[in-house]
Amino acid sequence: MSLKEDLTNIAGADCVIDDPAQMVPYITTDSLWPPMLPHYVVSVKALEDAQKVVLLANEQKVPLKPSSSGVHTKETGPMCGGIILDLSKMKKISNIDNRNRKVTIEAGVTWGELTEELKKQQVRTVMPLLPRANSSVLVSSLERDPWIIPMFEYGEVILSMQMIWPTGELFRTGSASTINYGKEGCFAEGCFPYGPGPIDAMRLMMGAQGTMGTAIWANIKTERLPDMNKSVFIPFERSEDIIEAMYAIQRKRIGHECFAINDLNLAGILADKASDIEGIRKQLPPWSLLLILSGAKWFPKDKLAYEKEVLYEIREHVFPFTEILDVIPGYGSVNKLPELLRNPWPADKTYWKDRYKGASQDMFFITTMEKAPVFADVVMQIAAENGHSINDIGVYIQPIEFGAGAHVEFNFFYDRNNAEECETVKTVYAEAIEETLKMEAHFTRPYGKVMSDIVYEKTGSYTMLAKKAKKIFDPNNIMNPGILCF
Amino acid sequence: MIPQEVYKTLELIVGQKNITQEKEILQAYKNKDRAFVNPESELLGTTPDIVIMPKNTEEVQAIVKTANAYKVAYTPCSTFWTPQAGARFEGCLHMDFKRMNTLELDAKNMNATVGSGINYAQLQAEAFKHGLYTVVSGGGSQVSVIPNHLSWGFSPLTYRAGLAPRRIMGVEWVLPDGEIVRMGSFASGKDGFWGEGIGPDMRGLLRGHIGWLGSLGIVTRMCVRLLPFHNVKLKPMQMHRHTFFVFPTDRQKWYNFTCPSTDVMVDFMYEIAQAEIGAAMTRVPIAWRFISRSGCKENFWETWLQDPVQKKKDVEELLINRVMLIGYASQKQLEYEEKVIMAIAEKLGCTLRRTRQMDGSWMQSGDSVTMWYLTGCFMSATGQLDSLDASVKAGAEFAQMKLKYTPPLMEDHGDKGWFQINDFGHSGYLEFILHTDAYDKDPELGLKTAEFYHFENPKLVARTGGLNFFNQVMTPLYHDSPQYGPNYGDFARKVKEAFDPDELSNPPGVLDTLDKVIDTIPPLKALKEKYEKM
Repeated sequence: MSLKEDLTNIAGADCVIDDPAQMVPYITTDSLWPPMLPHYVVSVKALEDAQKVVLLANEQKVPLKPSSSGVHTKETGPMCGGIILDLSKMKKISNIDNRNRKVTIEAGVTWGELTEELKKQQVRTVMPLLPRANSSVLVSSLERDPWIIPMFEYGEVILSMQMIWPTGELFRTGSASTINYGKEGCFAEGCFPYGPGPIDAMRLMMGAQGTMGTAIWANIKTERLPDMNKSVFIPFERSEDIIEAMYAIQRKRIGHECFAINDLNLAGILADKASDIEGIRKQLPPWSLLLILSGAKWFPKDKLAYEKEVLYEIREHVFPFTEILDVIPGYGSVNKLPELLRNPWPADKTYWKDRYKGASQDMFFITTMEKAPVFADVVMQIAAENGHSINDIGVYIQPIEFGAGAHVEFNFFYDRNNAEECETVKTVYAEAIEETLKMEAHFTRPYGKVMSDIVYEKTGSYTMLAKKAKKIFDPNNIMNPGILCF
Repeated sequence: MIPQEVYKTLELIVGQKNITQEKEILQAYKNKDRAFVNPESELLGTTPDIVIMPKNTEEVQAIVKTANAYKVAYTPCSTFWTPQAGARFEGCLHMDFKRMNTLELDAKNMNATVGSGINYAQLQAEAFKHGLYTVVSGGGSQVSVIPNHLSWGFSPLTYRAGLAPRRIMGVEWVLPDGEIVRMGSFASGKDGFWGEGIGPDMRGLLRGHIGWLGSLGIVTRMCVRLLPFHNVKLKPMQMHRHTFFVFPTDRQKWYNFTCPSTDVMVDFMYEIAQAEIGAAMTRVPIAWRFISRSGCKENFWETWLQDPVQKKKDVEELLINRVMLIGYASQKQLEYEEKVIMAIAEKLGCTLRRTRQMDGSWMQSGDSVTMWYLTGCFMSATGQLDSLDASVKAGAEFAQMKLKYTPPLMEDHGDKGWFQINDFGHSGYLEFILHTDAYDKDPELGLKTAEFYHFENPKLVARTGGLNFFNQVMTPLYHDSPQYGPNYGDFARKVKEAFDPDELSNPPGVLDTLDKVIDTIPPLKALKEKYEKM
């Protein structure tokens, strides 16, 4: 029996694609280094069918790449052909549990779908900066997208998970791992993330780009959606100053959404249409700090009052040279920010990173906040030396865990149809990775062959450990091979 | 006996002063009957052949490589807290890490990098100086920071500070074969401020809901996350068992509330968490109040067994929710949170009690030893995390089962366990604390105790769905592994076999210990057969 027949037997003829033309959406990416076409795409709706596909891939020693939505922005597409296991039809949202503040989502649930569903009950999940509405929430959580709310308590959002090991065994993590989960007499609700036992499958799956197993559903944290907010906009001329402001704000644990962004990226977000970007940009300061203070369930005005008082005290001591504003120049009132930042980027609008020049090659890593300005200087210099205008680079600095670390992101905007620009960006991107790595940038999410090859080569002992772990859990090396260091 | 050739080789690594085979010193390291009195320590506990004190990662690596070359098994130990932190096999090379006492604190980025010999008292004292704090676990401030993060790491403060696995950042790990691996941001540089890996997070090999307890190599250096605290000094008072901090009440306060029923107390905890206030909250079991007020063990027993009818009534009706509020940002934050908590209490009919504004337990845990003095030992039936509702329901079942085993278990007048809310309300915790008499060597009672811990209790834990922190010292793997995952033991076993094929790292490992003990003691083996047929 052929592989196609086997897949058809599992999922049905309508759910197996081998026509290259139909496969294009499954590998379409904004990357400058596009992935390979798979040999087959198989769509499943049930855990058992997904397991059968994994077992089949093992039996036939065929590469397998799980895929959860129609959006592929992270250069995690197949590098060796094989099968794409399409989970995008697994869209169940269940158990919205406001007592324990969690919800169960399947792999195909998108930011757009989940946000709308949770809003009905005045709840939300923490969110990255304006994710695409049609991208997968579970992938975002597994891949450690940085949340725009740096509160430590809101982090580690996956509470438990149903997964399939690369060798095909079904497995549940954390306190959903009991075999009696969901049965009468068993009290477990899947609220605790770690284990079972002395290894942690959830951690091994995180940041693995589909190389360590397949996630089917997860219980993830939800939080109350605040109905009273005080947003502020704080302009800065120097990145060093905005960093000190964020350190001080985060140290006091005030506010929800909080991040720093440069003029180009902010203009790209705020502009009604692409042609407005330059106009808005001219009115913006080089750096902007966006902060939303939020009232809680009880006495929200009182909470806002004490947080506002603390914010102004911080200003007096840390950034007396700038103002805390209610209006963003060229945009208007900050009161629109909660609505903007607590929803994904609309599916019917060109993505904000694609508005300026049509495409963006993103480079990001983790560092301590204080080092971010130094990294920015180096990246800008590399860009300038290689002929990429520094005016075409977006920068986004996201404090994480009360500012104990930061996600620092550079967006190299370019015109996809301009071959010269594409080549320049390729050069700048690779050189920037090399140079920032020398300065101890921590690339926790090495997307794409270019980045992962450079990073893994420089981190010898960790690479050895990762390879050893991969061999233990995926002895046939079927799960998305070639994408990382294995 | 470890050959003298090995001793001489090891001596070259650490120097003459830092290695010994002197009998008197080895006796001080004896593991039998220490700390947790259970069949594991009683049966396997022994005296090491060699005690060695390395100074740094490179010396640990050289020792482990030597051990591998000569096939000598070794036991790593920081503060001797558990039976696994001592010799449990003949010919043990015992590594004592007290010389590995480096502590570098990065106040700005809220982390500290510690060596294996640093304990919580040292770390917390440094953290306080910078307006930061860590979670000193229930084991006490004498407990070592690294192994506790790798194994347990729990206290009511985890309500805001998260569970220990979240606070493990960069790690330097000597694998069982002696290779050094640097994880988290140590993989990319000298600063261990970040824990996530490059791609897959290999911290997943280091610990799950439990740790390896030394049976998968040795973590010699770890960067741990610290969290923002207030910046007012906590004033220490007295210098004996009742050492405590006086709270600066404009920034940090306790509130004890009497709740009309368990259901209301649970609702109260959920409401507080949903209000996103508070720094810690926990139910206060009645026994804790007696321990706290007693000056000594004898004094506790004089009062604890008096008037059992009233005690039972107190256990059922005196329901106290103890809440700590912290004005992390300002005094006004504390005032705001107090306003909220009083409003919630009023809504639910809970009454504020008189509360002393001092702490000897949670901020730096000076009194953890009192948990032992009642009977000489204790071992909880479970320490499990899931929802708070799940914790409370399970507690009732444990209390029911416990009746059948009292005695030999200590009388607690029907208490349904210590529970608290956790992870900002996303989970709850149940610990069902039990005491047995460490000095009673009656074999029949001992067997009944063992039956409870290793056979009856694991069945209940599995049926009710608890994921027990203490299963590695309590539940045989043959029972536990199929119940969770399922078959988590199979996957963990693959890791162990790949990294430590000769089983030199602290044998018997956590996967095997209880099974080995049970198969070695005929009465326990007979119980195993009985329970397998049930």
